[in-house]
Formats: sequence, C-alpha cells, structure tokens
Amino acid sequence: MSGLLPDVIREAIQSRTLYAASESFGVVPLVLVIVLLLEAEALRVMHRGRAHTAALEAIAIPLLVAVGLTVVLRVTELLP
Amino acid sequence: MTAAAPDPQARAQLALLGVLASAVVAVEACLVAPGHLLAAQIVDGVLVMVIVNLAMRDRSRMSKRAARTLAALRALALVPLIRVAGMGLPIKDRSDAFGVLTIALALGVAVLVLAPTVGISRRRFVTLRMTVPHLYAVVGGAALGFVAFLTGAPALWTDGDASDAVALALAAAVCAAIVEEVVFRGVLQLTFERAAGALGAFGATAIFAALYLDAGSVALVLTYALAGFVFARSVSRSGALGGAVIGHVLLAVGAGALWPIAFDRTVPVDLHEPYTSILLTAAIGAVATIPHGLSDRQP
Repeated sequence: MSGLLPDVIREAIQSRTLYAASESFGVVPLVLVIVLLLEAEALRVMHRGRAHTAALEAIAIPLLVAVGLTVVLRVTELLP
Repeated sequence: MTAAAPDPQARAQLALLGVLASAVVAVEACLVAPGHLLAAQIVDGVLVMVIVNLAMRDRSRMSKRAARTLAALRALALVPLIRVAGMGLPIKDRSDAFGVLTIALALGVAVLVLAPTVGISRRRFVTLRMTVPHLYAVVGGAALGFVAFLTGAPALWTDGDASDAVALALAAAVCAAIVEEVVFRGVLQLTFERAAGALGAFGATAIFAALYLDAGSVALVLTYALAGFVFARSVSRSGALGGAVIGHVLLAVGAGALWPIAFDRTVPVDLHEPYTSILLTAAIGAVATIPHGLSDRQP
C-alpha cells in the first residue's frame, strides 16, 4: 500500500468505465493543467523570474501525465 | 545582546502556511478517507492554484525568513497535487501497481524539477552516511515493516500472480517509497523546518500521516505515522535522506513481500486493541519529543 494512491481512490477509479472516470476525475487535472500552462506562458512573456515558471512547470508534470494517458487511452478505445 | 526585529511579513506568511497545511490535512480527513473523492479532488485542485499563486511573489524584495516561508508554501503545493493527479489517472483495467508506479514516477520528476526552486539541493536526496541517524532510520524502517505486517498491511501480490505482475508490484512499492521520502522528508520537511523549526518538521510528518488515514485499521495508520516520525527524526538530525529512503523501502518491501512470504501470509501474533494503538501512540510521543542526541548535521 502507498499513500500516493490509497485503496479508496484506486477502487473509486476502477469501479468506473474509462469514459465515466475521465469525465469526472479526469476533468480537474485537465482544467488545472491548462490554467497552469497559460499562467507559465504569461509569466514567461512578462519576463518574471525563471524560478516562477520552473515551479509552475514542475507542478504541471504529473497533471500532464494523467491527462496524456487519458487522451491516449480514449483514442485507442476508438480504434477498431 | 538585542533580540531580532520582528518581521510582520514573515509572521503573516507563517500563519498562512499553517492554515493551508491544516487545510490539506482536513481534506484528507474529511473528504478522502470517508470517500467523497470528487469533492476532495476539486478542493485539492483549488488548493494547488491558491498555494502556487501565493508563492509567486518576488523573493528578492523580502527578508530571508519570509523567503523561506514562501519556499515552504511552494513545496506544500505538492501534497494536494498528489491527489489531483492520482485521481485523474485512467487505471480502469490495469493493476494497482501500474497506478502507483505511474504517479510515483510522474511525481518524482516533478520534485526533481521543483527542488532547486525551493532551495533544496538534489544531492541531499542521495546522501547516505554510515552514521547513527541514518542507521536509526534503516533499522526503524525494517522493524516497522514487521509491525505493519502484524497490524494488517496488505501483501503486494496475491497467490497465483504471474512473475511480471510480482516484479511490477515490487518496482511500484520501491518507487513509491523513494518518492514519498523525497516529497515529504526531502522537500516538505526541509523547507518547513527552515521556515518554522521543529514545529515545521512535526507539521510535515502530520501531513504524511494524513495520507494513510484510510489504511484500514487504527493500528496501521499509527504504524505509518510512527514511521514518519522515525524518518523525520533521522532527516532532522542528519540533513540528508539516504537512511530514511532505505528505511522506507525496507518498510514497504518487508510489510508487503518479505514477511508475508516468511509467514505464509498468516499473521503469527494476534495483536489486541486498544493496547496496540496505545503502545504505538506512546512510541510516537517518545520519538517525537524525547531528544536522542544523534545529530551529525553540519553547522
């Protein structure tokens, strides 16, 4: 067992279909990653410190993995 | 000798850090553990945005103490992030180990990128010295692996699983243990300690323990909390993570693989409640409060 992904969360995700899970639990990371990347881009344009954009990009990495996996799996479900 | 001038900005930020850290623990206790997961994920998402943006201020114009608190605030964003990303993983038909390994690897990369921005050297994550604090964490982790097995920690795989599933489960447990140490002791505790001293280390360990609130039994939750305090003590005393990382890996592999194999998945001793929980609580109190005089930290 791990505190990173406890049983209660695993069971909740696995009890739903891919579509149902991505349309509920999948939406929050998607919205968050879009906002974070837009914010990082805005900071870059405004020439704010490199540390600020690096922090935003670091936070966005796990969200990008979750969103990317969801997109890939939803696309592969469409394939014959 | 004159006392240091009060720094209202640092004090206000420290209070904010305390409020937000408490909010993170409250989300775990009030929403995740009872199963209100979508609500927990939305609250965690809001917390990530609030914390990240509060920590965006220009640190060159503030006192050293205020800058340290801001770094701790930025590190705190990792905790709600774990939940938001973890719940967003599409693991429908895949094994539990696949989910744990994916979130551990993604979070590990994020921490390695974030560490320098909060003033933590990545070298600390791999530093191991043959000194008392590190040995204390290694021995403590190995012993608590057995205690976790006795208090009901689940095995990493079931009888009849294929060898590749066993290998994946082991890899996931080891990676998760390493990443948990790097996140909670390497980044969270060290930045919290710089901002708030011993109270900061206590807060980081409380947040770590909150992630295990749904572990199944009170004794198992207390076992993981005790492990958190043992590893926190080691990192506080040495300033490096090597011993805590090895100790946590031994705990995870011992509780989920070695002891179940050694005892054929049967718990050899029937622990009685509430005595086990009382004993574990007393042990937590002892580890958290009694000074051990083990420090090998460089000045």
